[in-house]
Amino acid sequence: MALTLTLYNVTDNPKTVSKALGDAVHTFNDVQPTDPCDLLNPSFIINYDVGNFSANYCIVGAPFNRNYFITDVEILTGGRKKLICSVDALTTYAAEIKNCVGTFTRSENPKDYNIRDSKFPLTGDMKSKALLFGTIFTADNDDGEGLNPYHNYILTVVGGGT
Amino acid sequence: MAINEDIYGGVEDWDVYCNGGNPNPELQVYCLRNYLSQHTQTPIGSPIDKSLACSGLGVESVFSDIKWYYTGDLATAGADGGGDVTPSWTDRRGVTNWCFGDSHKAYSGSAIDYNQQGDVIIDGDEEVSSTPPSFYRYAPEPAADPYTPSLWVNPSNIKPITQFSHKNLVALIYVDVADTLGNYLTQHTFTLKEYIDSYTTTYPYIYGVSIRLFIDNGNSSTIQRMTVTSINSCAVAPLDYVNLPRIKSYMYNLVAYQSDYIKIMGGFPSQTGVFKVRGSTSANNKTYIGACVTDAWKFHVTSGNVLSQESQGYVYREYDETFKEEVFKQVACFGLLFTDDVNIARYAEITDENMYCGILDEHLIGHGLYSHGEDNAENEQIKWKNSNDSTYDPSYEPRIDPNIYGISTSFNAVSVADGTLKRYALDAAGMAELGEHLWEIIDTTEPDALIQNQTLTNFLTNNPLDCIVSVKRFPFSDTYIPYGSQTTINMGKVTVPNTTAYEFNVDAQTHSCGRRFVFPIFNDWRDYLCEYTLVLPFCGSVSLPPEIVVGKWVEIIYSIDFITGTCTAWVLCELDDGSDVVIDSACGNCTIDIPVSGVQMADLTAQIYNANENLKAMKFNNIIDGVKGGVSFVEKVASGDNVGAFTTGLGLGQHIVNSIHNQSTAEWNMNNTQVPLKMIGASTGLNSFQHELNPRLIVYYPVTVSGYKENLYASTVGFQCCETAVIGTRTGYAEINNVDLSGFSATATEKSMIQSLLAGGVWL
Repeated sequence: MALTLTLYNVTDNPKTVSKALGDAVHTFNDVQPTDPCDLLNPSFIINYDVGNFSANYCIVGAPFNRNYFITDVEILTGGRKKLICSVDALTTYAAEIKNCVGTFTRSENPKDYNIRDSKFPLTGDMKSKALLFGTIFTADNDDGEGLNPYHNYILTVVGGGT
Repeated sequence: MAINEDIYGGVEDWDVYCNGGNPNPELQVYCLRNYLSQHTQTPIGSPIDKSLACSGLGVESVFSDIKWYYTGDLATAGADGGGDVTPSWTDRRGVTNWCFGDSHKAYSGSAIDYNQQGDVIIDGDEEVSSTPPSFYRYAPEPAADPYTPSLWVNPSNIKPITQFSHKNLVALIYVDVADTLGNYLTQHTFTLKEYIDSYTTTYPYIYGVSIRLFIDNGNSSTIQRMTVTSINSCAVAPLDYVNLPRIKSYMYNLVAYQSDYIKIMGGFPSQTGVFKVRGSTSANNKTYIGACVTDAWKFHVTSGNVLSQESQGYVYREYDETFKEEVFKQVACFGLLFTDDVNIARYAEITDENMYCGILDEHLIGHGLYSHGEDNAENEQIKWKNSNDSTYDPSYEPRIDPNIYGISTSFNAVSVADGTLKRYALDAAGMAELGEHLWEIIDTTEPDALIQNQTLTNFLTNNPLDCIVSVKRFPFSDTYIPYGSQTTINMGKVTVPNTTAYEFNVDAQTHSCGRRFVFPIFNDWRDYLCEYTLVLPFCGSVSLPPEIVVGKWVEIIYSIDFITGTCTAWVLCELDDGSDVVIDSACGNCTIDIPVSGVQMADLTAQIYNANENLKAMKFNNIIDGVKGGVSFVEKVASGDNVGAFTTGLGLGQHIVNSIHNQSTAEWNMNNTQVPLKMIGASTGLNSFQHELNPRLIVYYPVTVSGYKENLYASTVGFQCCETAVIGTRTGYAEINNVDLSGFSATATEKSMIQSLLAGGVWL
């Protein structure tokens, strides 16, 4: 069974759903999988005699039709290399995933500032400031000029006699 | 729910409004063309199909709280011959299903009997009147007399709006106003903005509120939107039963009128139309409909024939600063884009700052909340292609909360019977005078003068000091000491002379220290980690919960007890329902007790008087006894009774000694009368005066780590959120749980892998 395998050098974070693959490094049209070969963690043998093997990602055509991370490379004789891969489920199914509905618990966009965030970096310190209200009170006995004294002594006596 | 095409047909059966409509058929306004024979008929008396409704009007809407006014309730005529009546019935619903409806001839003649005449109840069983009722239904088939199809009226003219697009329709608010209460027949119409900017003083009486619909038909190069043309008599048509006694009818076409101004508040169908709902003739008491939720609206029974109960009436409201918000809330219940400014309606984008949009809840019911500006695009109905995308369920009816909210705290004026007390207000100089006079009597009053004035009144006296209950100094200027006229101080039976004092009869008062807005520091969830401590002079401090006060107005009101000197500081906060209520309080004492000392004058007077009388008595009696003694002794000696005489002499002699001794004692007592002194009270409260006398709100807020950078945090950690959405609608870093991975073929292992990766965090 001959497979189509295209090598890429991907720099995006492995947890990126829609990775930017960039230009293909090389495409092989007659790649043989190893026997046996796991669909999700396959190995492929390629004839690729290059001095600097930099690919870390590949797309394999039918019947696999998946994107794979190249997790390891074994150098074989005769310029052959054995690519040990694991499936990149995120990018393989990126379009389908983006049509699904889920509950976002953390998000970069759009920003939500209303839910308490336990990961937010707060120190143990607290700062303070004060807001002054108006007042109805005074400790003064007059208006400051001495001419208008305040009648703020209240004498209470019993009865009302004459 | 999508419109029921079995009943209302599809797009091919609908007319397009607005000069051919927008090039995009999804953005057009359609109404039913009403082919009589082509669709399922809704039988007479059966509920109309509510799939016309794409949203509901919540309990806050006037259409869910219709008032019915009965002119016969006017007991007595006012000065103008008429008068206001309160609603005799209120039809309240948890939600009202509605649609827009258009009709070329919304009514015929001068009266609209949308129910029946006489006692006819349209249920097929009890019709007794030969005159067919003429009500209108937004249904494929018309309805009038169920037994006389030839009298079915206006069948081709009834046109419910079957489809429109919320993102391409803007409601512009208008008001009908007049200059006087009685001049309701001469109304002027303005946009709400024009009216508030320029005409509230000239035309303070409001008789109705309407909206006109503006749409982008894609045909104008100068104006983005124009009014929806071809609407001749448009109305809001409620699609639910009216819950009145003895009446079984539908509310549709309730407010239809020959105009493209869609009435949403005030009287229906207009201030001049008679909308009778019961009674057999025009001479009977009339019941009117008013769409007016708040008590600011009234129903005025007009003058003329009031007593014969043939009067009419109208709904009105006087303008005040609450009017605009009241109108906005009502329009918002429809879930439409709306504005009060014609330029915004014509030219502005839906995200313009002066464009508003009614917010619908999770059941697509409007409760009067609205967004504006960029937030408008977040509303679900704006994301629909058109109203047919609505998932509204017209069978859902929320329970009505019967409670009344939004009533602010009020304070009571308190006074107590003051027959047992008298109070006076003095300044510092007056207090000094009082203090001197309480000692002054002993200095200026000669004992003999006291002794000479032996009148009955002087015997009925008291110690002035014993009459003093308290002297308290309050921390107020004269602004908060409401004293009265100048007067003399009476302490029991004693008048204190030459002391300047003023009557003071106030028992308690409340005063505000002002309002302050508690501005959010962060404008996010960190505001609720803050601590708020309110320091209250004389009362200590209280902690305020940030969840309540952040972003709200806080006011401090002090209640002062002028009898005891206690004070209570009330902390009020503006709640989300607009009311100001007390959320905390603290008590204390805001006075300084002033000790008063002086002579106990009555005691002194009594002592001096008694001592002097005793002395006089001693002197007088000693002389007489001495003479007597002397005479007896001589007699005894002359009689030869030596022993008896001696004894008697001795006794007499002793008596003389005792008398002399008692006189000396009395003289000593007179000369050494002790001054009875007394002090009232002890000094307290000075320290509280030394403290700052302004309330102060202290805010403690958390500190972010110094190296925090928002964009880096967002792209690597993300912000906490909880929103269910299509994954592709977000970008950047995200953690997603409970993903529904149906709809594509991957192995179970891969799907499990995807779930795990999404939950742990990915970059979209």
